[in-house]
Amino acid sequence: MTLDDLDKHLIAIGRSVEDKTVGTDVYTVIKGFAVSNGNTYDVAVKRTGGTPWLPEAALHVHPHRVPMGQSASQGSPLGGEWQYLSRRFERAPTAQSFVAHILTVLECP
Amino acid sequence: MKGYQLREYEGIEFSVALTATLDRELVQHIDKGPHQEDLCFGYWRPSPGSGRFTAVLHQVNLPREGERSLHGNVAFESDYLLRVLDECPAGSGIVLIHSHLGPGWQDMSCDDIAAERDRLAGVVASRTHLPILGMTWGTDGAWSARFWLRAARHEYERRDVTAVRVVGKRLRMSYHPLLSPLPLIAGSQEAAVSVWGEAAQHDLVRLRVAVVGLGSVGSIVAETLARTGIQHLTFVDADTIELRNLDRTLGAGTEDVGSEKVRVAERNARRAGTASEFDVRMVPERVQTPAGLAAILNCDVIICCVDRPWPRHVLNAVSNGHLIPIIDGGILAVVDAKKRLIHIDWRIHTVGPERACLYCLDAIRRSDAALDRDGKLDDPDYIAGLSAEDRARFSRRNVFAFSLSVASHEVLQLVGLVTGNARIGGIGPQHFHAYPGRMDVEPTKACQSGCDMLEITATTVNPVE
Repeated sequence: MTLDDLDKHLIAIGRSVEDKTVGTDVYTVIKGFAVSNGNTYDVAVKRTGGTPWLPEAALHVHPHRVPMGQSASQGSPLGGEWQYLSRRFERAPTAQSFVAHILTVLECP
Repeated sequence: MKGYQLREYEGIEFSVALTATLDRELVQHIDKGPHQEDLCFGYWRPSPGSGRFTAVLHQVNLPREGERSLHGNVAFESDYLLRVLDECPAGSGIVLIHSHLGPGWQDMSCDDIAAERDRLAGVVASRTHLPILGMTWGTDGAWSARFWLRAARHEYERRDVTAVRVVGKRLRMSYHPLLSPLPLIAGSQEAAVSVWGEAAQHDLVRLRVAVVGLGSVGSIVAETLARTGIQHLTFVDADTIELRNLDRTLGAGTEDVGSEKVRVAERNARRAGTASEFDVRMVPERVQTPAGLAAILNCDVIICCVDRPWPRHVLNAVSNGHLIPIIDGGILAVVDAKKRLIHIDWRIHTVGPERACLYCLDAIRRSDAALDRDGKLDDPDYIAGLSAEDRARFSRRNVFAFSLSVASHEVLQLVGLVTGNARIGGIGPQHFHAYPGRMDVEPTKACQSGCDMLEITATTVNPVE
């Protein structure tokens, strides 16, 4: 798959997305994931070149999903309110499986 | 991106690649027996190397009833051409494929030339902005091919391709008899020829072979290929020789510390080479850079001797996307916290169409490739936070004797791939366990359903940008 495939899928399922630039890196921010803990999170995915798309081995989450330092979390280049959650994604990505991966990470960080 | 003007291709060699699956589909249509030729159109995508331009065939568009006339010879009707033009996928070129009734590389009749140059070259170039490609099938399965490039207004010139490769479980080459003539088998190659025969040697030594990574395994592979008589070698590595490399880099001495690895390998290959005509290109670049990627797209097969996951991801994608088989190997030596040796394994496998990719072989992990691409594997703090198992995977422990074994089997898999002789290359991926000292082998596997490497077959995608 390509990042364009992910963009189209996110629009098709009604997700609100916007791009955010930090230095030379561009992130797609996907807004408003409601989680069973009652909170809502935004998730940012780093836009990387190349086909097939190779996702970054992490998600960037806003606000912090876990106390910083727990569950392989670190600071994110997106800013202090964001959290880098290191999560490996080993499958051949499809747009659907990647969105499912986001939901899994948010539910069970 | 190059177009259809002759001037854009000065000094460029041409080739064609297709999968064995597409080859079977084509032959099923155009092989009408000993008295009848046939034809069809198809589509190709450009794979532009720094010194070679390759058409990668990806789709056939078979004629419908009444769209061509069969009368011993064969001719296409205008309606067929119009439909093929209308249905041409964006970014693709058009190929006219027809069969002849004799074996080997085929020359062109006046009718063949008229069809490709006069009826097709102009209209196809104006519609696709790429040159028309013509291909001819011989009864022994050999392919011949040529592009028609615009030299001036209403004037198209023919440029024959040097080779056509059919890539599947075997790599089958058809070479142009003048652009890539039968090589002289030197007396210094007699021993190898006595094992696998002259025909296999002719196919083998005319390959364009890239060695990516000229460290421990790559330095041995490079010299082995040169001694085997391979005529065209491309060495890709951005690194220089360091003192710590000297215990496992063939041909390197203390005087080479600080020298480019490709330069040391080139010197050794020239000293060892047995080919009467020998061409070694040095590319001091990483394969994931534009220059590195363009260099390997000049080649028919790639020996992967790098241990980092990001370049191996790139090569994995190239093998399917550009139909260039990759022969890859890896060494894993695990020691415990007290630095006691736990176990040593090494693996050798060939990847590409009709074979499992590096992910489906579990030879690399996608997340490792992403971490490497993003610089995390060079970040000591990040490495320190990894599990012991992960750290072991990235430790890159190695000994020259391990590399000798991996390099040997990589070259043997190359010979098996080209000759189709499983008695040389084995029947599939090999996995050696130093304890108890056993080589496991399994029949060639294919990618798992849903693998993204299957999706990119013959798409000529750029895995980096």
